[in-house]
Amino acid sequence: MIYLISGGSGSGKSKFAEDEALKYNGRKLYIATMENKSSSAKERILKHRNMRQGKGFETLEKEKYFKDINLSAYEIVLLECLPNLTANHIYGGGNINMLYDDVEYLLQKAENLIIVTNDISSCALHYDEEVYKYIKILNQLACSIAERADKVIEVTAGIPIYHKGVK
Amino acid sequence: MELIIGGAYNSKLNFALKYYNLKQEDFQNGAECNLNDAFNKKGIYNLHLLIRRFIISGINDYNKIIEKILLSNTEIIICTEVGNGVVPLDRIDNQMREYVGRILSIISEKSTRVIRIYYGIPSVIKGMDI
Repeated sequence: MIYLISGGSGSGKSKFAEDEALKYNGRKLYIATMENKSSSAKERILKHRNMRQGKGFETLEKEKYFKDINLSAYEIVLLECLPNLTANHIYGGGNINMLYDDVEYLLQKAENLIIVTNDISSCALHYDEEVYKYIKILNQLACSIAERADKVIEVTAGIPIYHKGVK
Repeated sequence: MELIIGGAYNSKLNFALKYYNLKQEDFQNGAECNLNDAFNKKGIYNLHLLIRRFIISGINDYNKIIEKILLSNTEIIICTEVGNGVVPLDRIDNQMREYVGRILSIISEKSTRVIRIYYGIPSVIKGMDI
């Protein structure tokens, strides 16, 4: 089963994704892609760690390059999150092909996979070209995942809206 | 008339090309078309950018843009939703944001069907299901 879960900032998408993962009884891997150097990142990481506490996830902090992760022991893999992974690749020494390779690896090797992304596409600010490039790369990737996903879910105010698949 | 909305880069145009079995040439691109020819094809995409260009060209009443659309033979209108972010400081961005919202509200009233696209997946939010 492949899930794509999206929503705005603070929409409850992460909690919803974790709750979906908890429906699986086997080992659960949580791949955290956020860079862990800045203080604001450290704060968010701590918040998410507390939220996951006691839920039985094994956490792997990895910004990119997933090919050496052995996923065979896990029943469910949760990737948090696609915007970070995308930024880590296009601004952190990777490239678009490697980004797609990382996602492809998860899609193929994970028994069940939840990918969390963030909807940043409905704002009127006239950004720099560089920002549009980023949104375009991120959303084209998300569209390609959505095509292959069994469930595509938008979370808003904590409530899931199923665009593909059913509850 | 049918209206297709959704966030940026959600595959709205791709959906329309497949669903209506049309070619890209059947659509005017609001980002770059001649302002006088904007609604002379079967469809238009990037309506939000066309609205921005109309504002820059001096149009200061969104009803004038609505009138242009309704007097034309354009059947399919594709527009990015831009109203969910922070209020832009830039006057043009700010005005576009409001115009897009107002114009889409009227166009949706006049449309037989409104489809919202989410990562390439359609939801019919008005009219007959697909």
